[in-house]
Amino acid sequence: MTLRSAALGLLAVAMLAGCSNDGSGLGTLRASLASLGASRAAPVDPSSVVTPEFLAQQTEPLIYAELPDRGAQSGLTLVRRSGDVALWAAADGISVALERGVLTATRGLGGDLMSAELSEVQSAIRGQRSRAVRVMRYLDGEDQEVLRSFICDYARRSEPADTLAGRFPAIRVDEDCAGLDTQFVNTYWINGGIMRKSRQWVGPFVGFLTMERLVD
Amino acid sequence: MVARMSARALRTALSAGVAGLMLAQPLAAQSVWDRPVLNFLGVPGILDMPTAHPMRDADLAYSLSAQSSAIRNTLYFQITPHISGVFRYAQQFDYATTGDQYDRSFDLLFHVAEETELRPAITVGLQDFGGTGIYAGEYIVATKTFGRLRATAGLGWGRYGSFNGFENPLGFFADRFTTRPDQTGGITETGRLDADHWFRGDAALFGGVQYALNDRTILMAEYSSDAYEGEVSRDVFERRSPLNFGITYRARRNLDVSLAYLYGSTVAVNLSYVFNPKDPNRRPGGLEGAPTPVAVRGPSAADLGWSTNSTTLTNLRSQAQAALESIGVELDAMRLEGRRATVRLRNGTYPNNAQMIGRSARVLTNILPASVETIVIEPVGGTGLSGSRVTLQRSDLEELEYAADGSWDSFARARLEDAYPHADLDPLAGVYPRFRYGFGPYAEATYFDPGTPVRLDFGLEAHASYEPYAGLIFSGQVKQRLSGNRGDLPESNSTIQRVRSDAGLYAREGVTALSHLTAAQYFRPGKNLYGRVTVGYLETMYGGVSAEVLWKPVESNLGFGVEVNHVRQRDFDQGFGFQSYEVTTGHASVYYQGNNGFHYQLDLGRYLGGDWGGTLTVDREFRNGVKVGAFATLTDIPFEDFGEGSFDKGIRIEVPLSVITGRPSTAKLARTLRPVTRDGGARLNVGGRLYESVRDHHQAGLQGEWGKFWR
Repeated sequence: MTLRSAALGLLAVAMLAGCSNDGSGLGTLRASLASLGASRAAPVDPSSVVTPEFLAQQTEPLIYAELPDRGAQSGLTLVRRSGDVALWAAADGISVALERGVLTATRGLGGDLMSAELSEVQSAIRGQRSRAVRVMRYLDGEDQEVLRSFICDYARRSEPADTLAGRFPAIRVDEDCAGLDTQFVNTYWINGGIMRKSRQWVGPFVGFLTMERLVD
Repeated sequence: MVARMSARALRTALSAGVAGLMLAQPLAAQSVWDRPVLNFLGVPGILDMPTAHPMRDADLAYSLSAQSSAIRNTLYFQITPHISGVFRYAQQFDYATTGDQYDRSFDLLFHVAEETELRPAITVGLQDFGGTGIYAGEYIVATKTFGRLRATAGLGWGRYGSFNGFENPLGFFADRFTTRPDQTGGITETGRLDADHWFRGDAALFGGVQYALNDRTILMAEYSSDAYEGEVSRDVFERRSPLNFGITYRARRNLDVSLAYLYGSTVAVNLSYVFNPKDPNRRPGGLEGAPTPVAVRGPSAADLGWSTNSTTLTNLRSQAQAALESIGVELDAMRLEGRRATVRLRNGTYPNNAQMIGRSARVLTNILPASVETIVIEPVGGTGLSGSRVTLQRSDLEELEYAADGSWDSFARARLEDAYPHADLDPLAGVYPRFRYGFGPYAEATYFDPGTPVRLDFGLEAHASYEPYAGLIFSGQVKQRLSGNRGDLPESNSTIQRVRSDAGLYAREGVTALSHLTAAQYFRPGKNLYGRVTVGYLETMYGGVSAEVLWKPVESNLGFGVEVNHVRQRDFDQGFGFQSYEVTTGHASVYYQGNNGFHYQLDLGRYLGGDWGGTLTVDREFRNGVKVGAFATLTDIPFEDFGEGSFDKGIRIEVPLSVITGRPSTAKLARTLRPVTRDGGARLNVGGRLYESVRDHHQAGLQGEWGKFWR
């Protein structure tokens, strides 16, 4: 059998669309592989979308979020509240859970923050302590849970929060965290009980997440 | 499953993360030696000579090298941090008057010492210890790193002792070490262990240096003790000098390209690709979208009145079915009581069963009335029977969704038990009888016959299965070959009953082939016991009856099974007819899930050729579903009668598609590679064996997967 006839045979066979009702076959395989080559949309200037007229029309809580290390942007809508934790979702299956504004879990980002131990962090952000231990959990390549823990130092000062929804008086908290191999700085702007603006580190595969509260 | 915070886990996670984030940036200066260079024989080395450093644990590397005397394909697996195994398939040019020779060889490397400040790394290698002997050699080698420089020196025997050799120093211990028997047994004596040849004959020194010019480029020079005697004597190759020079470029995190000028006479190229199942892609945890969140019940009093209202019950059942279907889970049957809901679920989407259970449980919290506190999930495998019973408390789900230790706590509080006795749940309307079908193109390959590396057939296939009720499955598959050369396989020269070596005849005459047509009944004979009876055309070459019983408690790492088959050989045209050869085969099997992901299986019994013996299979299994394993079978068929290869052995690799794409899928890429397929130690290839479908739902499987329960 020559190479040419083999190639023709393979081509003919590959072009035939397989069909099934049991989830097997080429269709599902193609869909799976398509995700490998998915491209990214070009970044948009958010202030061109988030205008005062746009904000006036919103009735539901809304957050503007960015992943600067990936060049991704999205709006987040509130899905559910569960005690102190609010679950926010983006359109493409990504969700972000915030415990009183502090990131406690993400889903759908790849390298998600699975959960976090934030009790000391919450006290420190509100000025009740100056140092806190932060524990964050992720999945490794074998789907096993791995921990990263950090010691964080806090600095607070008064600084207004400049957001797309306007300028609000706020307390700015800088959280300087150091772990075994990693170091990052989170920043929060809190006004009343609301996290107006924040820049928080998600994990080594995601980088930072910045959020601005647009609608309460 | 315990949360691990070892320095190793952190370092691994971090190094993978750094590489993932910064794709185009160069590797850090120290990390150029993170992974040794793979040489032209596919093992850590310089060019033709080996070095002493191992790859990272679980690294699986494929190398392709080409030079004037041969093209070599090598698969290298770091089985444990101290042991690695190699399977090599080489095309030796102009080996005999018949042309090229396709040679298969296995290596075993023992990394006996790690490099420390004062001590070099030391490795003992057995090259081609059981093949045709073309590459046979043993060595002990040491490598030391000095900043950007790595220096290697070693002592070799066999092929590595052929140039500038001297009397074997081991001759001091016993005279027999001074001589080495020739590999003159001929093709029928290949495949044996040849342990009495090891470290015998003349020894020679070899060595070399590697210098990391920058983060991506490594310069190499070596002094080779391989005289290439065979190749030189056949005039395929000219060896003018023992010195080799080369350069390696690290194109990517896991891809190396090497170029070398060997022996003063030939240019050679090497390409190597490394895949590590523990760190397979840049999106650990997967890319699938967010799961349905838990619906937290309000503090209102739980009303029980709904459980007697049949309209409400019907509505709830269809709502549950629709909601579960939207997340890719089929609801087979359900029972709803005032405080308890029991569901039987079929997973067609998620390779991780704990993830399927977690997502399904959360979907149910959004549908079930507030009084339902206990949710029982019975996952169903391919057999139609529940593999286990997982009991979750709804309050735990509400409490642990965002808890820091939610993963471990949810596992600790869940109850896992045997789904026996079979719970009488009401099937959903329309689920049974279950009819599934599919058709499409197929490609089938056989490997490593003496003539060519791969033979391929292409065609169309159609398959269907019919389940009138849970546990009884009728299934069949028909293939229509359109084109291919598997039928050109030369006729078998086996001197024993041809139970497998007629594969070429089956491929040639089976143009329209009935791959299988079976009726299989699965049942639960008792607690921890699973049973199967399959009747029909069981596989390509055999039809008859197959019966199996498996004992496997949910919480145990040990399982025992007994299988008995009575089969007859099918006609070569793979139609409805049979030939006259009939045989009763059967095995008693022990399955053991060991530590560190190693899985062992021992089968003892009678094989298709009527031969008695046993098979040992050792797999290294990773919790994301990747499996790399090897097996060997020894029976009472003498090596001479078995023929080339001497006994049945091989390696097998399984990679779930989800590991490659990051998206959930139950599809897997699986290959079993045998250097030679002959008639000894041949086992019936009946589908639907119990252990594989049952073990995924038992504790060892679920516990390893539980990290994704909240994913």
